[in-house]
Amino acid sequence: MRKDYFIIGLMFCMFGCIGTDIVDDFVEAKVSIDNPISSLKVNSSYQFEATYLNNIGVAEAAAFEWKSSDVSVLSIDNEGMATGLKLGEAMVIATANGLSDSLSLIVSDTTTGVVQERVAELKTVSSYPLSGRAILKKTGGKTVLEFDDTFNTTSALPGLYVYLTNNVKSINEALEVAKVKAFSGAQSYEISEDIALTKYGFVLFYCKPFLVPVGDGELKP
Amino acid sequence: MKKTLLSIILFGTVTLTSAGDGWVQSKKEGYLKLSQWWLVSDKHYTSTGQIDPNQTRATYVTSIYGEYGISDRLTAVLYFPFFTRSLSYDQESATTGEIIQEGEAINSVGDTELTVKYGLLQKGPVFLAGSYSLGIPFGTVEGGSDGSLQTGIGEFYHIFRLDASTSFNIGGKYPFVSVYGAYNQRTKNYSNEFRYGFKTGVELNKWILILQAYGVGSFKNIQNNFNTTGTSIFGNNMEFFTISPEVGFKFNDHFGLSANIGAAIWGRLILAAPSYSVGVFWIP
Repeated sequence: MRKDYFIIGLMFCMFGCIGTDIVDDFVEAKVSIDNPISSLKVNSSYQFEATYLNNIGVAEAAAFEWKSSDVSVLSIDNEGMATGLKLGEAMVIATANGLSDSLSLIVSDTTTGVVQERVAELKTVSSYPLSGRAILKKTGGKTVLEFDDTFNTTSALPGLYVYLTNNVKSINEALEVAKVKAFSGAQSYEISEDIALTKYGFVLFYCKPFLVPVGDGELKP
Repeated sequence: MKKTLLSIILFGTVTLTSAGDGWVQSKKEGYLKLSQWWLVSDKHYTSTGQIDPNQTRATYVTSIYGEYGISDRLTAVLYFPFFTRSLSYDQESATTGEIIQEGEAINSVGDTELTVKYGLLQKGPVFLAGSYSLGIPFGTVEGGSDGSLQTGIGEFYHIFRLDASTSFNIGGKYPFVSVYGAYNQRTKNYSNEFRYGFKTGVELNKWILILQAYGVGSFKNIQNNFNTTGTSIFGNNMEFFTISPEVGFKFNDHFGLSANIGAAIWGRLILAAPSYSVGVFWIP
């Protein structure tokens, strides 16, 4: 009888159940002006856009309120359309769900500062080494993510993928760019989606098979 | 990883005094053991030996291990994991409570090992045996939606091993001490390995107490994991050193139970959690 119980116990042990990991994916919600410029030509207009990112870094629809800090220099309507009225400087402020983002804008004789590329200084967030620089840019009508020749990580990471995300704690809603092709040196990845350069705030390196963040870098500007 | 897991499983399976080590079976005698081995881990040793978190992974292996004496010098050994289950946990957002990613599980036969063992010295005081093992990749190499669940490594391998054991009289009890060294020739772009171990134990009435320490090191002749089968970060160059106590109980001369725990106190590219094993053994 005792033997029977033991065999039954063994059979029971064979069927391990799928449990649950709790992922700390909280990030502060924020509003982000997606297409900043540094100067706007007087008597011309520019359409600003903004995004509200919730507490897991996912974009949510929101009603934005647009304001100019000096309406004699710069006007802006409720849709984010700004018009330079006279030479000077003003702040553009976008607000949604009680959160704001702002940028300083010079009204001058030319429009400048449209973002052409963004750069992220990469750092490890794990015990695996990861460093270097990533550049996100438009080239030849395509969006491309490049690592320069300072990029370096370890060959112990066969399942290393690179993502664009607004939450470095999770790949939920992140854009998977590609599996990393080489563990060091310059390399380039064409992004399949036609995205705005400012849609994502971070480059994230993730060990996809084991869902481990390995390193990241904030894209600037 | 499963290759190393298989090693750990085998270490956890074959530790009773009536099997393994420098002794071989007498002709037509044998040993049989049914075991359940499992490991659940949410962290791992990195390539630099530090411990990092990971999605919880678990492996459950139900196996049969048997030895049979073909002659007084030659023993055939089979390790057959007839049911192996590998799984990953659900990922739930602490912020929203939603499931970010569903966990998965696969079940299959696991990688199997066939061994022939020859008794080089069998008259004491030191017993010496050499063996050759062939690893057969019956397990699943790339399971689950992303191919990261495995019940096998997908390679044949060859292990050449030398065991030495001795036993002595202390107050009418006969504790034993064993050591071994082994070379694992791997294929499919995996680095070859060396293995070593120490074991001591004693039988006290119906109880068997064993303490063993064993390790695996990599020759690192293959430096990266890009060409390995599957997507496990544990596919190549894993190393560890484990301490494993075991207790057994013999109901009679033929039948008994055993349980052990193995904990890697040092490692590289291997899960960082204790493994457990329970089993029932039969000596004809």
